[in-house]
Amino acid sequence: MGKVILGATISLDGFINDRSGSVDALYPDLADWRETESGKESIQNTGAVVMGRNSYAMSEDPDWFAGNYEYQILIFVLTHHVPKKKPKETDQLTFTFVTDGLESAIQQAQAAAGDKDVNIIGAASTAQQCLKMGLADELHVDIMPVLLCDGLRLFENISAAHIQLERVKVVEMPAGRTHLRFRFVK
Amino acid sequence: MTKVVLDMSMSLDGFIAGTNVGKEYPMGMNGENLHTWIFSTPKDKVDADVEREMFAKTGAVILGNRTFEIGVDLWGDVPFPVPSFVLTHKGREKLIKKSGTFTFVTDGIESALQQAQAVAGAKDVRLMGADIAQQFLSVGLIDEIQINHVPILLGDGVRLFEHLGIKKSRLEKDRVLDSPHATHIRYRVLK
Repeated sequence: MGKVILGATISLDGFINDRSGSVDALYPDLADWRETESGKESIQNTGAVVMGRNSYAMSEDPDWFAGNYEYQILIFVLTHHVPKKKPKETDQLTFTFVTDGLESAIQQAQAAAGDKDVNIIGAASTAQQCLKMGLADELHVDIMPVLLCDGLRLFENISAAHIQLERVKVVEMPAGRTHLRFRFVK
Repeated sequence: MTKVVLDMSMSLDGFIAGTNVGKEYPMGMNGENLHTWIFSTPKDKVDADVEREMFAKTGAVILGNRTFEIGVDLWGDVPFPVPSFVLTHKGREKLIKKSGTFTFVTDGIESALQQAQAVAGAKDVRLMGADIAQQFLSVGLIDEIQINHVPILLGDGVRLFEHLGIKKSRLEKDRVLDSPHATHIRYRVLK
């Protein structure tokens, strides 16, 4: 079975968006990311994505994902309400809406991903839940060279005493991005 | 030209000390783990180089009164072997220690900075403590930020980047050095 990876991009001061909810300052390199070694590796190794409700909602048009999103694979969206009309899908990219929680979404994603990894891409609440429940094998934090000074913090309301991390590697990327990769010691 | 440098060991979740900072726990609960990169034996070569550079480049220190009160007995000296300026509301006589002198500054951060710059020569003025860091960031007086990102989560404690009173600040990544104990990332503050 592949790994379960919790990943997020934060400002140096720990925010995943700014006070207006915009993530633009954190992804000036979005278009180029998939051409980097790390980007290629991630796209290659990822078999399914678990997406938090807020991350999914950030795209104004859910039909955008098919053909445009960096991961053209199976996407499991955490939600309270399954949309009446499914967004556009392709041979590679399909949507599964999961209403019974993160753990269930991860299980379904792992079963579907086979030997490949599951990437959890969530706003703060999904990440916090994932940390609290110890659901991931690795933590990938990308730090961008900016202070946003306000917004949503990635790490908040976590009781951290039980969480132990071990550095796997650090990769310098374009646009000032630093990719920090850790393993959860279990 | 003297640079004003903020150089801090920070947990992945943004804390530079744990909860209950005081004489009993100078770094707060579990906060001492932020300095494993300095105190581990044997020391990683990368960490040793970063620490050596930190001492070599520091020409003067500005710290807050709280950091002073908690640290003075612990250090038994000035925190770095250079002149140290304590920002405080209550003035007091200079305090001479083995390898430097504490000067107490009551007329604000710009005065403290001028005095520190005057003695730092070509070396850096180093800031200590979250409160001092925040005050200097708020008025745009920091030139360089080095964060020693430590792979631990403290969950609670003293946050470094908080109460900044600014909207946004662009940085430029300058250097990344890394060991199993810390990832040392240096940024230039773009003005």
